[in-house]
Amino acid sequence: MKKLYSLFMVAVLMVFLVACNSEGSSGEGDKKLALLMADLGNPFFHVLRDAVKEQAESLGYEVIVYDGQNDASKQPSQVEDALQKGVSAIVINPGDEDSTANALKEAIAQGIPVVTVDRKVNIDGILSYLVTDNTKGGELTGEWLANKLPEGGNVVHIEGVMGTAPQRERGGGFLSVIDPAQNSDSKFTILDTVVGDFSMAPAEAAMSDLLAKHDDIDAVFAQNDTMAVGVVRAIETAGRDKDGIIVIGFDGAQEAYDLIEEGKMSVTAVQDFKFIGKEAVNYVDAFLKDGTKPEPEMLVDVYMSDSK
Amino acid sequence: MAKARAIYDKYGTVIVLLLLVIIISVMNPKFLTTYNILNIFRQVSINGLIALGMTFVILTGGIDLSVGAILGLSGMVLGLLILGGTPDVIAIIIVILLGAGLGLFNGFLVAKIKLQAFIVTLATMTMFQGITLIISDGIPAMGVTTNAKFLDFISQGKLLGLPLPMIIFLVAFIVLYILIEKTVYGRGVYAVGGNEEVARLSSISTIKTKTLVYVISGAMAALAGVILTSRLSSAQPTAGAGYELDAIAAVVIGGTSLAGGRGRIFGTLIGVLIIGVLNNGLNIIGVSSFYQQVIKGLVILIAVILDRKSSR
Repeated sequence: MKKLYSLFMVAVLMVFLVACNSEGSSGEGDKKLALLMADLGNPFFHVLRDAVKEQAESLGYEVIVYDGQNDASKQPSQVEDALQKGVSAIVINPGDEDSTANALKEAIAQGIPVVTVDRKVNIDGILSYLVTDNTKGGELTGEWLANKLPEGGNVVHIEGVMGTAPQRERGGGFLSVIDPAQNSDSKFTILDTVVGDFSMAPAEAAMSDLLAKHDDIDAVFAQNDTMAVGVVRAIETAGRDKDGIIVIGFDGAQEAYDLIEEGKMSVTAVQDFKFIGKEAVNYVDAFLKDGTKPEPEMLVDVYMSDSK
Repeated sequence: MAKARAIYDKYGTVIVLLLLVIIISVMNPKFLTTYNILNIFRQVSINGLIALGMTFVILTGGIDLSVGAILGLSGMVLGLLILGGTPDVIAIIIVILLGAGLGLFNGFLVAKIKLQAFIVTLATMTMFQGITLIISDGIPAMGVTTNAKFLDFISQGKLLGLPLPMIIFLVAFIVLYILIEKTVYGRGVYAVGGNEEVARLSSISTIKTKTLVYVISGAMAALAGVILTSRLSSAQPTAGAGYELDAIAAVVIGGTSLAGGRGRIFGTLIGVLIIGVLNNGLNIIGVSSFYQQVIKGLVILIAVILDRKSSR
């Protein structure tokens, strides 16, 4: 009986594998570019994926996309797989700074240009590293708030996953402008700092708690848009949407634009992933054509978007 | 004195809960406002529903690691159905049946094929997470409650002045309490968890009993997914990740043994409240997040130690 079931499972697996394979890759050509994404479960990174695909295909590359599914240990074998397929260039958004180091060394040894996006990999020989200037983005966010409320006010700070670079840099940049302890000119008070893990449910829960605690919140800085959406929802649920609380996000995700449109959210600091993706492809393409080397590190500015 | 001991033995975790409430409200009186108490109940309803179902599973000596993934998948299916034009009441019924169906799949593999519950539900957890990503393409379903009046009412509405998620949780608690404490089926759950061989010899259908606990667990996780989707007005592709651990913690704090056969669903209710009061209270006091993690772990250990003492 058990044998029968396992045979059945194997059959299902076969069907599934065949079905998945038929999705195949797009574009035709002998030049292949591998794009390794850390986590396509985060919709915001789809902007980056689409920008890379569009630019690479317009330059005549066939693009192979890998999804690391938020598990950095998956990526090394994906790099190896890309090398097996004979790719001429690699654009990678690493899940962490070390997992892919050895696999990428092999690629660099073969003379394949590697550009990392949004996170470093700790090895020599990477062609370039493109990242949003999160510290400056945090500062810009703080400056935007200081202009919005020249008289100062009470601020709640919702942090992302503790210990990650974006959390430290966005928070650090923001606080360097807003926190009176760091900037003597600041008229603001930091009421509370809570953790929302860059995701919606914990941010919504934490904000609900803080709404129970404070009735004088003027502004909330959420370190990404997903959390900002949770904050807006908590304010609605608590019936405090008439308080005029300023909600600031970071990323430039579609859901933030929608809420800004509806007047429920104030502003988001947009990461220019379209530019970053396009630029990454241009770097590897230029290198393959005539050996041009770009800057080893490219910090890309955010811009504030609060247009209704 | 003996009387005090008897009370302590019976209600060790209740004492922990009361102490927490007293300490937190002394540190910040805002903790005990009506608004905040209702806020806590609204928040614990999600972990609460999952933990109630999990109690049944653990009582049979099993475990269900796939509840968070079932919550995520149910929430996403609900979101996509509603955005696709399905009336919300029908969509909610469909996803609760879906949760029960996914639970049936777990139960079939554990009870009928006799595979280890831990491995089965670990495997189905990854599968269900994958299915959620496939059907959503990794994109959250946004604005789900905008045109879904009833679904919006589930998290935003009140009945008799109480938030609806709280009422749903308490009704589920009463129904499952009666099922486990007052019915032949409930006695069967304890018997299977206590000693499966003996249970079989006393003509209890162990396969049916065990399969059904996973169905209950799946349906509860789906119901939790409905509430979460309503609360956020959106379905996130990675929603529910890690929720199984909070649910298992609540069940164990409540005095149910992971070995099966011993425990009380009332204890789970207290366990859920302890975790909820901690999460909320530490924010209300304003404890920094690094310390929050240490304190949470400590309180869980204290509750479990007290419970071991009281069940001797």
